Parts: sequence; C-alpha cells; structure tokens
Amino acid sequence: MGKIYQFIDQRLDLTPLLRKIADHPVPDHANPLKTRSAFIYCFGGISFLVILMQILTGAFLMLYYVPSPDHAYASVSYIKNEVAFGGFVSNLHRVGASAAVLMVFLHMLRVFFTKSYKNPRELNWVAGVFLLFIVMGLGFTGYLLPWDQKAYWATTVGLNILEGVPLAGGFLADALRGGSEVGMLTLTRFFVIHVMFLPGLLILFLAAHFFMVRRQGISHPL
Amino acid sequence: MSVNKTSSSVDPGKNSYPFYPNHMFMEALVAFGALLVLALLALLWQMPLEEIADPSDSAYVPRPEWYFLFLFQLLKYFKGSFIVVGTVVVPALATLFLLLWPFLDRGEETRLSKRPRSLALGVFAILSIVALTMLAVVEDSDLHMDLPPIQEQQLAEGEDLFNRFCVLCHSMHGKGGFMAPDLTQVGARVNRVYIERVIITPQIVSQTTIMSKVPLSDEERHAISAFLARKK
Amino acid sequence: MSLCEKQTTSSRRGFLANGIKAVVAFFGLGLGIPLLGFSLSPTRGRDRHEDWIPLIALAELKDSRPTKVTYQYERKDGWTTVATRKMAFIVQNGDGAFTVISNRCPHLGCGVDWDATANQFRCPCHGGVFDLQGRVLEGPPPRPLTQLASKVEDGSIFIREA
Repeated sequence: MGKIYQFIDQRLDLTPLLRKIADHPVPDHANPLKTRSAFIYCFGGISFLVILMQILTGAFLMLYYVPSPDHAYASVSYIKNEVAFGGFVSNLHRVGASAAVLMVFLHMLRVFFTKSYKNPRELNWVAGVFLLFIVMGLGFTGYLLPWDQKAYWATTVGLNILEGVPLAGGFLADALRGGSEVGMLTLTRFFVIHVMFLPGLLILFLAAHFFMVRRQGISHPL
Repeated sequence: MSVNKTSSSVDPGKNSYPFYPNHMFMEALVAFGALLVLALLALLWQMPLEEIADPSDSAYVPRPEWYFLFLFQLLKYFKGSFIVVGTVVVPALATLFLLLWPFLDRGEETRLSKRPRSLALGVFAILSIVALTMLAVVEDSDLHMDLPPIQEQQLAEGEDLFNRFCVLCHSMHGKGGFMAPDLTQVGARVNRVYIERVIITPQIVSQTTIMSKVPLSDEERHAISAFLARKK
Repeated sequence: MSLCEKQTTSSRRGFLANGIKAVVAFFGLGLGIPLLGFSLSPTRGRDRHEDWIPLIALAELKDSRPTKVTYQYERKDGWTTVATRKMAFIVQNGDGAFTVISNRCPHLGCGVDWDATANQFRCPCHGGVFDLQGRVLEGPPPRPLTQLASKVEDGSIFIREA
C-alpha cells in the first residue's frame, strides 16, 4: 500500500492536497462530543451516505431488472424470490428511498432552524432545494418500475394530477407518459429518468453543494 | 460562544478540531449506525410485490409512497374550479417560497429565539405536512375495511332490507320518506365503505343527525351497502 | 483541550485512524458479500439439459457426407423459458453407425461448416480445420469437435446437450 502511494505521490504530488482535506478544522459546534445538539449536523452527511447506497444498490438491481411491461414484474419477482440476497438488496433500495427523502428533509430543517442559509450561503440553500426535488423525483419514477398494482395506479394518478395543471399540464403529462396511456413507453421513460437523467442531475447538484460547503465552511452555530 | 458575523469560515484554533482523524472517526461511527439501521429495516420490513399491474381493476385504491401522501391529501380539499389551487397554486407558492427563502429572510440574527417569524413559519410547515400525512393515513385505514365482494343475491336482500328500514326516512326513485336525503344515486356520490360507516355510526355525517342505528347483522349491513353502492 | 489530551495525541490519532479502517472494513464486507452473492447468483448450479432432443428421422439421412441439422430445445433463461436453436452434423460411418458432432469450434466457439470440396470442417474464425470424424488437422483448436450423446428410438435420432 505504502509503496503504491509513494509511486503515485511522487508523480502527482497528492500529499498537500490530502493534507488540506485532512487538516481542515471542524468547528466544535459540529462535534457531538463537545456539543450535545451537534447530531443535527449529521443529517446532511447521512443523506449523502444513503444516496451513495442508493446508487450502489440501484446499479446492482439493474443486473436483473428489465424495463418492459412484459418482463418488469417477472424480473423484480425473480430478484426478490430467486436471486441470492435479492430480497435484501431490493428492500435496501426501497428503504433507502424513504430514508433519503427523510434525511434530506431533516437536513433542510436543520439548515432552516440554524439559519445556515444566511449570506453568503443563499445559493447553497437553493442547490439543496433542487436536491430535495431531485430525490423526490427519483422516488416517484422508481415507484413505477416494479410494474405491480400500486406502481401502475400511483403513476396513473400522479400523471393525471399533472394533466390537470392548466396550460402546459396536458403536454407535460403526455411527454412523460409517452402518449395518453401508462404503458410500455411510460415504463422505459421512467426507467431512463430514474437511472440516467435524475442521477446525473443529482451528482451535478451534489458536487455544487459540496463545493460550496468546502468554500464557505460550516456555518456558525445558533 | 458569541457569533462572529464577519468571518464565514472557522479559523483553526481552540474552538475547532481536525477533520482527520477526529471528525472522520465521528462520521464513520454515525455512518455505521445509519447503515446498520438501514440494513435492519431492509431485513425486517417485508415489502412484498403486489399483484401485477391490472389497468382493468377498478377496485384498487391507489396510494403514493408515504412522502407524497401530504400532497395527495391536499388535493382532497379543492373541488371544481378550485382544483388548481391544490395542484398548482399551493405547490408552486411553496416551491417558490422555499427557493427564495434566503433572499426573503435577510436578517443577521441566527438564534432561533430571536427569529419568532421564522420559527412560526417552520413549525407551521412541519405541522401542515405531518397533519396532512396523518389525515391521509387515518382516512386510508377506513378505506381498508375488508368488505367481502358484492354477490348478486346480496343485492335483492339489500333491497328488501332497504324497503323495510330505510324508506321510512330516505327516498329512492321518488318513493319513500322525505326526512332524509334521497339515495337514488348514492353509489355515485360515496363509496361502499363510507355507506357501511354511516350505517354503523350515523353521526359521521353530522353530529345532529336524526338517523338512528338500525339493529343489523354484519351480513345484513353488507347487503344494504352492496345494494346502495350499485345505485349510480 | 486538556493537557492530558495533548500528551496522548499521537496514540489517540492512531486509535481513531484504526477505528475508521475498522468501520470501512466492516462495511466493505457487510455490503460486499451480499452484493457479490447477488451478482453471482445465476452462475450457481449450471443447468444441465437432461432431456433427449429429437433431431431427425433415420430415413432422412442422405449419403455418407455429414448431414447438417438444426435442433431446438427449451432452456430456462433467468425468469423466462426460451427456445434455443443450435446446429449439429450427423456423420455416417458407412455401416449404419453414425456420430453426432456439435458445430461449435472447441477453440473459441465459432460455428464450423462442412467444406464439401476439401472434405473438411472449417472454422471461419482462426482457421481451425477438422476431418470428417472431427479430429483437428490444422489451426489452434485444442481438441476435436465435441461428439454429442445420441440414440435411435422409433426410427428417429435423439441427442442430448453436452
């Protein structure tokens, strides 16, 4: 390990970079050992952890999942019933979705109540609001994928709500559905949105979020 | 600790501690706990696949994932031309408010005790979401009353019972009493579970209702609700 | 920070660093094992196809040259059962006996074909050449063409997948 690190370090000069990360000070008010209430500063980190878990379990679930009305249900039931650890991995993804929404929401409450969004951190709050919506969008699109009763009906109702929106609603609902009925094209669309577009946006916004945190530091306490 | 208003990042010193290894160790421990909880939930919480999607099944009660329930519940309160209030106006205003909040609340004070309006707003938002979600859950638990499916012979029995007990006050197709609402198209207005609940507890319609509890067996009540639910 | 902590700073750093490693290792294993098992699950217990597959009626066999036949059998593939089509050659030995040879080249699995002018099986990929009995004449194939187990019943030839 040490030798490999030395080899890379001689060529890329990583040590100062790592030093900077490793030695950057964390304020006491974010240290649960020093400040009892500091645990509320953990929600953001846990959100990130859960999102990483979702990416990991999601990637593995794609080994078996097929986004087609003919196969989606059978492939999910195959994962749950026949693949080793299949029930565990798919449940982990399901629980993770709820945990992600919950943790992002709690993180947002912490930022709100400690007023951590105040000048100069307004933009990071805005990025965070987008992250919340992206995570909820992932929840909505992921719900259809197993193609069981609740998947089909929740999506039908959700898209009909959108359809009721004046002016652009009908167009947007048709665009998401790929037509006027929830079916094959809806499933492939939701699948691609769920595994490509929204995760891409998620990573972009997360990068911006973390960049701003490192640039501006952890905000001052109450 | 007093609030230093000018500097935005923390100086290394006595009020801070290093990221590595101290803070990272803390984060590792927290991650350990969080993932353990997640794994336990995944192991213990059985989330079975339902039946395969069936677009012809009109008996299915669609519900979104729990974190959308508050939005779903909100829609129940806006009818007719006010539907857009629930689908567009409230969500759009909330979104706009959320996005612009740091620019609306520009004060320097960060202590919550000195920010009564922020506190009130935050608590109001949380309470609304929690209350709407709970209302949705409570109303759903009624919907999941397990009713045996309607059988054809029940309809005749239900009509018979209706003519014995209900027509004294209720009317149907122009016949019957006028003390209570006409039930000719009751099945189009309310669902069968609601009919059952009204028969069991008439007061859910109104605290001052004059409707009395009719002594019926479960089978008889199911027959009446089946008969009325088909009146569309 | 107390004096006591300052004295023990370096051992404390070591302890914390080891703690981080322990947690990382725990999760590496705790997630790695299930995810590995999840991915490798379908490779357990290769499904052998035990049934006899009908190939062709004996009467349809032509002269002594190899007869090319396609055959089809049902195979479990994930959560579906699919019809798999494959090809084999029936080689007659003159005395009424015959062997059934798979067309899969033992080198890398390309489909070999019969070259009637040269009286040889030729592989289109890397120049493998086999004689009528499937023995290697030229090229990289490490072993002869695979012979499939066969039997005759009710005037038809049946084989079994290798």
